[in-house]
Parts: sequence; C-alpha cells; structure tokens
Amino acid sequence: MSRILLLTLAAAFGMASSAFAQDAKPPTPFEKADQDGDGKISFEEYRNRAAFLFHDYDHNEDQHLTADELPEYRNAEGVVVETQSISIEDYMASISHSFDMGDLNKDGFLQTNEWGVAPSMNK
Amino acid sequence: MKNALLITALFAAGTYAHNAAADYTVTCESNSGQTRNCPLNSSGKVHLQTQLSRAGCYEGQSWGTYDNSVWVSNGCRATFRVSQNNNYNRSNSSSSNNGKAAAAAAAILIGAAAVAAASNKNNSHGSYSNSGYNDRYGDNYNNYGNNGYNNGYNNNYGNNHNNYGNNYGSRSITCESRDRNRQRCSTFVGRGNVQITRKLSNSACRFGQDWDYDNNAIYVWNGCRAIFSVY
Repeated sequence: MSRILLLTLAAAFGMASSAFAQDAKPPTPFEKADQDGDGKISFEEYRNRAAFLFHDYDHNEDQHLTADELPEYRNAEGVVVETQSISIEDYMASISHSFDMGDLNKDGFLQTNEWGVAPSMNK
Repeated sequence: MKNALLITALFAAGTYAHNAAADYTVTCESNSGQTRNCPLNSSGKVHLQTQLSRAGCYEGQSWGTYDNSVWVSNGCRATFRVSQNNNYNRSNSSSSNNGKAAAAAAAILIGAAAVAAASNKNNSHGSYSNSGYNDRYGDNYNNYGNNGYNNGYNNNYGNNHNNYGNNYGSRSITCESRDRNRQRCSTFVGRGNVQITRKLSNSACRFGQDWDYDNNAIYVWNGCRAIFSVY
C-alpha cells in the first residue's frame, strides 16, 4: 500500500515538475521572429528571420541551400519533395510572396493566427 | 543675364538627366561588424531588396540612407534598389527563374518553424517540440570576411559613418531567469556570437537547454543567470 502511495506521489511529483518546466520553455519561432516583441511580425522582421534561417542551414556557406542541407519536406500527400539548389537571391525573393499570402487582413503584419499560413507553398 | 541663362540651362539639363536615370541596385556589406558607407550614383528612393546576411538588417538600426549614400552596420549585408519614382513593389522587384523551388525551400525552413509554433500553441500542456525546426546555434559564425558578394561597392573604407545607426562592439549583458521563468534580454546580437562570461546562478546554464539567443535577444530560463558577452 505504502509502495503504491509512494509511486503515486512520485508520479504526481513528476507531473508537477514537468508542468513546472513547461512554464519556462524556450521562445517559440514566432517569438524569435518578433524582434520588437509587439506580438506581430512585420515584413522586416519576417525577412530577417528568413535570412537568419537560410544561413543556419547553409553549412558550407556557399550562399546556396542544397538538398543535403535542407530537412526532408513532404507535401500534403506525404510525398517527399525533391529540392534543388537554391541561391540566397532566389530564396529571399520568394519570401515577399509568402508574407503577403499570410497577411490575410493586409495590415502589413503577421499575427499569430496568420503565422502558420504565410509560408505554405500550397496556398 | 547670359550667365544666368546658362546656369539655368545647365541646371535644367542636370535635372533632366537625373529624372531619366534608371533604377539600379547597389550591394552594400558590413563585414567584421564595421559600418560601411556606399555612395549612390544618383539620388532616389532606396529600398532593401535582398538581405544577404544572417546578421540583422533593420532600417534605422543597421542600415539607412544618408546624403546620397546607403550605409550598413553590425554585419548587415544587402542589395538595395534605388528607384527614381515611388512605384517600388517588393513583390516584383526581383524576378527569380527558380522561384518555385526557392519558395519551397523557404516554406521548409520557415514553415517548419511555423509548424513548431502552431504545435506549441495548440498544446499548451505539452513540452516544447523542436520537431522539424533546428536553429543550429552551436556553430560559430566567424567567417564573414569572404562571402562572394563583393561587387565593386567596397571602395569606401575611408568613410566610417559611425554616428549613424547603433555601433555595437563586444559588450556584456547580464540576463537572469528568476523563479525559473523565461527572461528575454533584448540586445542586438548582430553577428551572432554570444558566450557566457560568468555564470551567476547555481542552476545550470546549458546552451539550448537553459539559454538561447537570436539576432535580437538572449533568452534564459530554468533559473539560469549569467553574464554574457556579445561580440
């Protein structure tokens, strides 16, 4: 009986401590993009986030993203999309359209509910 | 009178030539964190067309215009479009023959980030998910010197416009997680090099687990308190 109690206590404590840890979680991608912390993403913030990520993945720093540098990407049908070499110029040129697609109410900012819409190439 | 006429004629010709000038681009790059001033061939409205750097390019902070030139600082590297009229549209400013693939790549990177954000939001009781989203902060990004974008606009080393924009050198910032809560300490990281100078807390300060950073801030949580150096 006491053993079960102990286990229950341990489980409860485990849950409590994990809940505790969740309060102190790392910043979300949205928060990382939100440079001035005003709760919305301007195009300038979006562009900076995109550039930051490009260089994060461009391991050999040749200003091109190649298939081996990109995470596997599956389309809506679950099929792996083959990626070709992408120059930083092409990459950066594409984000303007992505931003505009996400900016549903056309106020020049991505709100949290628009954030997930912006980068989708299927829309 | 004759002189005045001549001057007027010259002025008119100059104005005409100015208006007739076509839009053009200038690549301006701040390497090693230095402020760089890039002169323009003619006046016009300047737009940042393509950001090339990992380091942030924020207008008024790390790039701007001044006296017929564009300046960049803190590692901002970008191609700027100088237009003679106000019809600039960022969406069609540069044509890409590889646009679809590029959009797909951008979707992969930012999209993965967005998916992580959405799963975070929708599952507030779950743990933070890093699935499909990795900022590889562990690497050191010191190699800004030779980046292949030197297009002949780098002849202006003499002009250091340090008064424009913020000039951040190596500096210290203390960031402390109280009661294990997450704390955002706003600072311009720029080139992206942050190290712990001194740990103040008994709690661990493990990179990625207890602290992190991005272009514009250092984050601490889990009780990590430390003095960081940003350079």
